[in-house]
Amino acid sequence: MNRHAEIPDKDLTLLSGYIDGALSAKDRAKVEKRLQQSSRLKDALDDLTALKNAMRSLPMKPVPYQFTLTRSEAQNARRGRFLLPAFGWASMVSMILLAVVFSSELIFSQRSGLKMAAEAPAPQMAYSLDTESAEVAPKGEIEEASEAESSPENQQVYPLNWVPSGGMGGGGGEPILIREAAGMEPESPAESDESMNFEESMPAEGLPDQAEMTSVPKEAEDAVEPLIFGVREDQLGQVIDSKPTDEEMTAVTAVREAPQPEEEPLIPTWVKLTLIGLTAIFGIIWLYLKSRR
Amino acid sequence: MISIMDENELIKRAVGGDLDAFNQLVLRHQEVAYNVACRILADEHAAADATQEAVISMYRKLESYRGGSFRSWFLRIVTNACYDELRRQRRRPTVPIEPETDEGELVESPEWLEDKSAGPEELLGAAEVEKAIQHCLSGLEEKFRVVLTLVDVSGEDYESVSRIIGTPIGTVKSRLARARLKMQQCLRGFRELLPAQFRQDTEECDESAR
Repeated sequence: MNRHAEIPDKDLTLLSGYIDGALSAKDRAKVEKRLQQSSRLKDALDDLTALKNAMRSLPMKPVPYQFTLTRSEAQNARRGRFLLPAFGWASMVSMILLAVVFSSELIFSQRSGLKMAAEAPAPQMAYSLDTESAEVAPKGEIEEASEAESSPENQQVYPLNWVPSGGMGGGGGEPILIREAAGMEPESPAESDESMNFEESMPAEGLPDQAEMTSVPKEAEDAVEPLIFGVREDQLGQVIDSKPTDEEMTAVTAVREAPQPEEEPLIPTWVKLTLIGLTAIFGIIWLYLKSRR
Repeated sequence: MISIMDENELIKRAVGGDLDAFNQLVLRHQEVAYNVACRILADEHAAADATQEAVISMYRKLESYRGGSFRSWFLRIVTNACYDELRRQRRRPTVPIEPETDEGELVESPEWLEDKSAGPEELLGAAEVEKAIQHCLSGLEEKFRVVLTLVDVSGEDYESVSRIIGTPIGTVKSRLARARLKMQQCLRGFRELLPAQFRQDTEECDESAR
């Protein structure tokens, strides 16, 4: 353990500056006063002075040869002096361009995605709201609404993976679940109708009559144009058929097979590839020149 | 005696493309540059390479010289060349002559340095002192070694060192104090080779430890 280890770093720095003559007059006077009071500081100063003298007494080594440049060396040195910074800057600029290209594409693709999402209607919500209004609206309004929905401009087509279903909402699903749980085949639309008829024919004690439960007249139960592909329902919202017709299938196939317009990239691919290539080439040349130095 | 006016004239001519003037400047400062490189790199061949690289680099950068001490500017380029050389050595490590611990640190023991066949008189020679100091200097971290070399070997003042290594003067002061403390701790192992002051110091420590 060195005896100077107990001396604070601040004092060592002051002593070091003192022997190098690098202290201000005020600090110098302060150090000299403390040196008179502390023998430990005096010893530390003596040791630092001895080390400095030993270092300064190291002999200067003679140079092994003259480091002067010949004409040809000077020409070579001047010739290549612009290459390294030139390729360094070129590779940096191409890298920045590359970053700008890719980041702008990313930003624009995200913005256009958000815009498309904002412009697109919320079909499920619109559907359910329309259905609710149809349930309480008088017949005249229902017919108008049906006509409006069935017009080609307003009608939406929702291709679904078609599965025979027992109905919609809470009422129709339960029999299917029971049947499937029992290992039986899901009931056919015809059976579904029968079961619905059976349920309707069951007298319910204490419950109001079926006719009293709805304000929609009997004519409203006629089939309406499907809002969801393949699913037909009456005016009360009960599914009466869930199999798409041949016409519908043909229309959907035509839509699916129609060529989708390809989105053109913001910056052509060949520009991006060229930039990547230039960045790589400039970087490799810069590294090569740097390693040769 | 070289006057400042002469040096300024030489710099002006060298910047203008006069190779002879440039070579005159190199001849004036090459010895201190080479010795600084020797102390930092602890290898004469590597130091010669680094100094030559620095001279070529200085010739390329002559137009960017903006006045001030030419010697400090040259030493700055030499120091950077030494840092480059040290980085190269780290990338391509060589087997050291000095013994190392399992962790790869230099053993700060004087045993490798001692020639068993030599007597005490030979061990006290100036060359052995130089070896001991160089060994301890090489064991310092680069940042401490460079500051200590520039101040104690090259004789630069704090402000000049601050410009050469590009750090504030306060940092130079604290690094120098730390470097000197570490050197003293290391040189304790070489007490037989050192001046009386060091021997007295270490003997007092040993006695107080008992």
